[in-house]
Amino acid sequence: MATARLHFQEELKGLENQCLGALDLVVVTLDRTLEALDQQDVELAAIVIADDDRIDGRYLEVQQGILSLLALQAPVASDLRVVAALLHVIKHAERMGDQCVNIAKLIPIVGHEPPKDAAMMEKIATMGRLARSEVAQSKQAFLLRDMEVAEDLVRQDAQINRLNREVFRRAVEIGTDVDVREWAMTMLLVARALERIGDNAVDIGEQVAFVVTGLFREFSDASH
Amino acid sequence: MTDQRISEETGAVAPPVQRLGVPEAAPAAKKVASEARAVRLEALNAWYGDHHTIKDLTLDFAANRATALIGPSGSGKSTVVRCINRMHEELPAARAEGRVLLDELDLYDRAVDVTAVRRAIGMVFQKPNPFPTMSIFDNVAAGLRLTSRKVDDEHVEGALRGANLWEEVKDRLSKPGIGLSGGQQQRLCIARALAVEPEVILMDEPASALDPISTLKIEELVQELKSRVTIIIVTHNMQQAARVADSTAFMLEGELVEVGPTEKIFTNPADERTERYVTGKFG
Repeated sequence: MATARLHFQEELKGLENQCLGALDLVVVTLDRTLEALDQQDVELAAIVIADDDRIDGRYLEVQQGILSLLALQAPVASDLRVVAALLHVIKHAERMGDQCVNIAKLIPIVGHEPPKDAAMMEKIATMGRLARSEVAQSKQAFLLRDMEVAEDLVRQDAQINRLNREVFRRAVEIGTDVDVREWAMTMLLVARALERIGDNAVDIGEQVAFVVTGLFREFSDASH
Repeated sequence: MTDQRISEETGAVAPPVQRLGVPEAAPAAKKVASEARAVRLEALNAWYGDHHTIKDLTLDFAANRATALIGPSGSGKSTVVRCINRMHEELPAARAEGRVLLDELDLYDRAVDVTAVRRAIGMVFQKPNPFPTMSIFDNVAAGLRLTSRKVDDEHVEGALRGANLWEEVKDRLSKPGIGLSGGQQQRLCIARALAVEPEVILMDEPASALDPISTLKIEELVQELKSRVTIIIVTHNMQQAARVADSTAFMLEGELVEVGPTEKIFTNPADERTERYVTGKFG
């Protein structure tokens, strides 16, 4: 039997690389965001905000590529599942970029004063490292079609969720000083944004499972 | 009874004078109403000379559903449909074994009249084949005449309407059928098949010689005809199978690889060979 549709397969692979490349952009953006947060670097935060256009642009490119592929090549079976999954992946990448922007916009609000609570900052820094790891791992899982790597995202995400709850408790207990409470509320928003990035990475893992098995299932029930 | 053959050249109309399952001198046999019926192949084998083309095929075609047969050239799709209406056995050195059931009736039973089989199971071929010397009206009426049934305007109109052709030809029924466009000719052939009120219609690449608009009309027609007949369609066009068929069966080298709901076959096939075929990785 002759191998057919070589051009289509190349096109699909190119689209996948372009889409997964958006996750690389997210990792770079998240690194800058975490650095800006740690250093209270308002200028770097402004770069993060401005640079989000690159991720948004990638989203539009991949979406257009997917539309063209659907219209011109009519993919089916595993190819169709990959195309459908890419549409989700690129949307998640775009949202993760937006979460970085959300954090970057909070950095000028925090100002140049030292952090009010070192323990809370440490938890948020850990959340940031875990979120970064999840994004990179979700890309690897998709690239390798590796279910084990994809399902391991849930384990990491559970740690982020636990830290998010701890940050919340810390904010509740932080005291009555208005400035400190305002700072803690702002940090809660940062923690929330990082927690959402983790969720998006898990969602990408679920797309890996869909591509491999053809069945969609949530790795963890968000309602609990 | 005359056992009149159906040829690919002359079209799908069979000339039986009796209802399928009611052989002459068999008054006790049950009568068959003209409605869609299920087809079941049981351990069907077919040969062209020494070449074993269909290998132990067991497959169900549900009533009032369209089932697509897909597979590469030489996989046995067309032979299957020819076995269903017993055209295969008409070819020199060709033979078939196994059972083809129309509901409960074994079409290969010696008591079953082959011409009655072909009335009950109409066929539409790749190339439109209206009778060249006949008018549009007579093309449709031919089946009725050959089955010794009353030919009336109402019946012909009904068949042409059933084939979605009436509005286009109602003012020129006396004109030659071959004067129609390719797509219209194909629908004329479908009208001719419908006129004798078949229970099953076999379609062997019915749109492969047609332009895209005519193809879409045929595909729409398949959807409409499902309420009246069971449809089995052989196609190389996988998008067509995806558009028109409720179920799809994938054949390879005379064997059934996989059958299932069309959506399943085209989104998540169970067999690796199906996956490779529908995604164009071989074929």
